[in-house]
Amino acid sequence: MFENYFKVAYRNLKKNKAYTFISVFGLALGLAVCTLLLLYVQNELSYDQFNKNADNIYRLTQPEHAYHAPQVAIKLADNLPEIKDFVRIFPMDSGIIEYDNKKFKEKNIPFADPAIFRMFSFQFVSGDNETALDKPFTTVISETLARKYFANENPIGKVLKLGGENDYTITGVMKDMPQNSHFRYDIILTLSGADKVFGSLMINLGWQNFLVYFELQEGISKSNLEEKCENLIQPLYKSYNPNFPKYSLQSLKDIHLYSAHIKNDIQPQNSITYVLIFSAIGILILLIACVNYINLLIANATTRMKEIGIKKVIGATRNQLALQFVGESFLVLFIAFIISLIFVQLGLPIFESLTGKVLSFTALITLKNIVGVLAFLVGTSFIAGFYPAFFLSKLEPIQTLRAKTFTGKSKINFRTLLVGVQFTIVIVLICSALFMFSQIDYLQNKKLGFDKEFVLTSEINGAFDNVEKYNALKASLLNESFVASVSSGSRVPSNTTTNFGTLIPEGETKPTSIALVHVHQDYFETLGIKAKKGGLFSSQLSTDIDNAIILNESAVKELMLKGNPIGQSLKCDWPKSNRTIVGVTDDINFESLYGRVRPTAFLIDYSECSRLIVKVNPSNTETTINKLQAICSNFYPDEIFEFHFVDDKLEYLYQSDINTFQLMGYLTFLSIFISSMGLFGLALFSMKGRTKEIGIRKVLGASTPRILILLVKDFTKWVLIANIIAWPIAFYAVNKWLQNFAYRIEMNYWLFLLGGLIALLIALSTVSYQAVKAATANPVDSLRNE
Amino acid sequence: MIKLKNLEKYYTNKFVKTFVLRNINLEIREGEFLSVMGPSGSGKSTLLNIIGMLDTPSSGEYFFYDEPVHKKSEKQLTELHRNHIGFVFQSYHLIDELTVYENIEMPLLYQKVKAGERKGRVAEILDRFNMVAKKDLFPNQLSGGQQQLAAIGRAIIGNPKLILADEPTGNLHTDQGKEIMELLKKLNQEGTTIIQVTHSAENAKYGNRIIKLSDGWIEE
Repeated sequence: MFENYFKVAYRNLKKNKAYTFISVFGLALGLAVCTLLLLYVQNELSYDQFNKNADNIYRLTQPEHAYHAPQVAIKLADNLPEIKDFVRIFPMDSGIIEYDNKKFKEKNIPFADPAIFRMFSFQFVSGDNETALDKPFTTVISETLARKYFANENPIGKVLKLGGENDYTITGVMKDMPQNSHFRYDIILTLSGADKVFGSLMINLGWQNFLVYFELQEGISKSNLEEKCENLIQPLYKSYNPNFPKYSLQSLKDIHLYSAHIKNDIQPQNSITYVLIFSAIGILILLIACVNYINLLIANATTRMKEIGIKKVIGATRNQLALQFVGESFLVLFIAFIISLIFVQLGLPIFESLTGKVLSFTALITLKNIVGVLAFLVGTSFIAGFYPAFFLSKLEPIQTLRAKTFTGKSKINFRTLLVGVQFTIVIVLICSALFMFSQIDYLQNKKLGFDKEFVLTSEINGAFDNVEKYNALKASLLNESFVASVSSGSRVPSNTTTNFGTLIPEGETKPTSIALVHVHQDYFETLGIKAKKGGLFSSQLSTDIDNAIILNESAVKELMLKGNPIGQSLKCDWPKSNRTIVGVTDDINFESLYGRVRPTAFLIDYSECSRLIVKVNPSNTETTINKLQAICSNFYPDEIFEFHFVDDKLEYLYQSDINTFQLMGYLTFLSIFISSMGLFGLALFSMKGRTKEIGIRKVLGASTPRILILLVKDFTKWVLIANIIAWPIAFYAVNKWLQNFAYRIEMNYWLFLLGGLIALLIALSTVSYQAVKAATANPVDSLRNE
Repeated sequence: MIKLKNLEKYYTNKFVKTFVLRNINLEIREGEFLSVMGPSGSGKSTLLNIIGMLDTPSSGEYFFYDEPVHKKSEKQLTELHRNHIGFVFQSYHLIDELTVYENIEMPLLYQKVKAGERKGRVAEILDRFNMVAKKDLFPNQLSGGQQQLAAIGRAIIGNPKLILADEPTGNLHTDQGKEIMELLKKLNQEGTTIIQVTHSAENAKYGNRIIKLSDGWIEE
């Protein structure tokens, strides 16, 4: 019996090639996309779960950041028995590591308390994780770094020199930190004996650069503990900050996906919003593919009325017929599933590059997923097979034998309704993609208040505080024809502005916290920044060095300066000085456009200028950079110069959004593609069912365009209705996403219209092919066929 | 074998009843070859479908081997189809996706006949109808007459006691039609009860009894 079912199913699939291709290919594509997104979502949700103590580890945070003074953790751990252990991490952006007379510039070099390897479950290849960092000047490195520095030698006991000053002995080698850890480092230096390195900074409450992690005792109430933490920290900061911020404890498992409010996190984290967006898109695309499949299966089943009738006449029971249709449905799904696995394998590298993740297909082979896939296959086969199995097999045999195809009114509505649902999803995706594209375009092209093109920067370990040496370098650089201008500063656009100082306007007593950018004189000219009021720093006026300050507009507002700010005096704490405002600039976007421009002040202080800024004329990039490096190394042989273009770095700030957009673009295209395939298939069946009607209409004198309109009308109507449903959904989703940006595009209503129009055009062009074919056919043929 | 008492079939459309069959009283004995004649729309096919339990009467009683058909469940009717009735249609109604062999075999599958026995019985039918060479062909590769032969093969493979033939030669050439009628006659002679609906007076003569239907009434 099953053999017979299989034969009928197989031959049916073979006979209706278009139907089979659309069903199988569409489903396989939908399943593959869904599987890839499932991989992504599972990976995102798995962050930090590898830690055995994950449930009891918390990070201390403030409303906008997670950085604290080193003393805070000690104070809390000493006074609160709920805290079992603590780890402080001081992340350093980069440093020069020296071994065997070779120097390497390493990014991300953190200092951490020895407890890091007790609290977090990082695996050791050699050394003891319990005690590795206990002694001062010890370090643990990753396998990757061990290979880089020591090839096949045993790294234990070897000494690395950091920043040309301190020697660190390697006491352990760990496996590379897992991909799904919210921080990943190749080297960790001990904080044991940190006062020998950082001196009195370790007790400076203003030096807020440490991330603090606590391992709590079992069963501790988080909110109670947060309150206790606040009560202990508050008195420490009474004199510093009258607006004492709130403290909270963030679960380790939440850090990766729920830290959107945390600025300048230890490493870039993701947001649960994107995980939800991609989960939703995965489900929606699968839904589109399933709708296609169900629609086509029903359409195909209605052409098999004769078979159902004959089988009933011969003695098939309803259950047997139902089993046959559900079985056929399962067969198609199973084939699609197998093909989808091939698609997943093929698509994985592209998907990995888009998400920036290393994903393993084998991660999906879990009992939960296998049960899930089986449930999906059986469930969908049942839903898809339900209509033919139970509705068609219920009909009297004589009804089924009389009708070649079933043309019940209600069924058409159900099918077109499904097409409507499908297009609603597609329109939501198209509209969202259009807005995303506009926003990314806006971010990349917004006037930021400075020249971002042809500006190269390089950070050094020390500072350009030796004016004579710096001036010699500058003169040497300016000798090159490709160099237009040279300057230096503590911060350049595309960086964060995290050096804060306090300014007190003359006649006031209350200090105001303002971001400070310490610069050399030519800073503004090199970056093409103009003064809005007053002037800029001048190398002719030596008094500018100690006495002048330039504010941005937000700083003027923040300081509540009355009247013309030019000429007003301010008291500054970094460096301690009295300064006169010589100029006001626009609000320059130093950071990404996610956040508003901070109130910022610019002043000359050579000792803080660690970033060289070179404006070049357009020329060969590689040669330019090589020459710059050669000249700079000549003057500063201990430093390693790595130049980057500012516009590249700016683009990098939006990289995750650009990736997301690209992924979204691909997914939207796929969803359009799958729905169009479905619509094409449905149109195919629909036209077939109306061949006789079209023939008669033509015989009676209907023109081809009239018939075309008649055929296309139904589909068009549903796409238009889909627009009306889709627009509010898209509006809500897009609006929510745009809230992430301080600078964002307006809700342009024409983009919704454009989205709808695109969907309509796609639907029309898909259906038109079949419709034109049907409308231009010779009526004699269609009537003869009847 | 078959008893129809005051059987009526009508369709109700709003307030109007359209009668297809009116007050049908008919008895058919086992071994009969009954021809039902009448003009188009006289209710011949409806009567045949009701007898074949493919359609239900609007009122009246129907007894098959003294069992009241009008009181049987869907499952019981399926059992009757399986074991007692074979159908032959004007347009053959073979399943396009199955070969001649598979089409003929199908009723045995639903009767859960074992594979070995199925093979033997299908071979016997193919042999009897001279269709061995055609067994692997699909319906659209056969002539109308061959298709009808296969359809008859399928109808009789389950050894039904009753064969219902609805214009079995309607789509065939005269020669092919004659062949089919001869075959039905032979089956009748072997003991199968046959009821055929036909337009052709000549074909009707193959039966040993003829009834005429006019506007739903029997004129015997």
